[in-house]
Amino acid sequence: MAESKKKKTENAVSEEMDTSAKAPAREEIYDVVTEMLSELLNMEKSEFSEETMIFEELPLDSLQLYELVVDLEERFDLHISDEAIEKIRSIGDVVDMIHDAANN
Amino acid sequence: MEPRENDFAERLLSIFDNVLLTEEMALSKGYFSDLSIAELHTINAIGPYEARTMTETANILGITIGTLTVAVDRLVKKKYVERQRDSKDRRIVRISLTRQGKLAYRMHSKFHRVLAKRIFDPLSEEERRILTNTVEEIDVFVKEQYKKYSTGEQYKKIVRDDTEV
Repeated sequence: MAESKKKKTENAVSEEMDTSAKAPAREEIYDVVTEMLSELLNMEKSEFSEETMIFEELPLDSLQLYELVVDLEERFDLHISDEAIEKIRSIGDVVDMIHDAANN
Repeated sequence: MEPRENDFAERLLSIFDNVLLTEEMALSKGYFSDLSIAELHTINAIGPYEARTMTETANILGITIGTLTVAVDRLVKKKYVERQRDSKDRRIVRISLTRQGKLAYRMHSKFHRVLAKRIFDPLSEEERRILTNTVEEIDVFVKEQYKKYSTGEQYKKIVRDDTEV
């Protein structure tokens, strides 16, 4: 059930990305980020918001943060610098980081 | 040697030993306890992005292709590295990091950044500039000494490191 839900979301995201050569929209990035966090932390997507503080409010350790970063790099085909990772505080920051990296 | 010079030399060696020791202990107790420091250096040389050829990677590490092949075999077995044939020239084998390899790379580089941040944080901009220049000069001097004793292959690595900086 969870696996099919994951596949469905992945397909939806990749289809959206394939049909557009432009950088991904912010909403699309938010959707992928929260989907990945949901998988990593075994939480519902509805439990997240742009304002959710990554380290204070989520049980995310440093390895899981890097898992998120490595998976986002793979998904959006971009490079994320260590400096950018160090600025992350909220989920909104993660979305901004990907949005900025995809547009530069 | 003046007492101050003596103290400085001892501190320098102590830092060198303890950084390596800490890295090894962090490895053995952390998420990547199946990796040795040498294997982490191989992972660092491969890097997290574009796939490299064996020759490129061996040059970065200053080791022979034969030595690298043994190291890569182990890392492939442990699922940190994967091999692919070049799509245009099937004779060329490229190596890249798996997801697990990329995670090890990121975690290892974090250790170095935390160390640098801890040293830099209490310093003024001018103090940071002086410290950076001094450490660069020490690095150049130590590499010069190393050149005197190293083999041709190791020497090439040092020259390359110097030109890349």
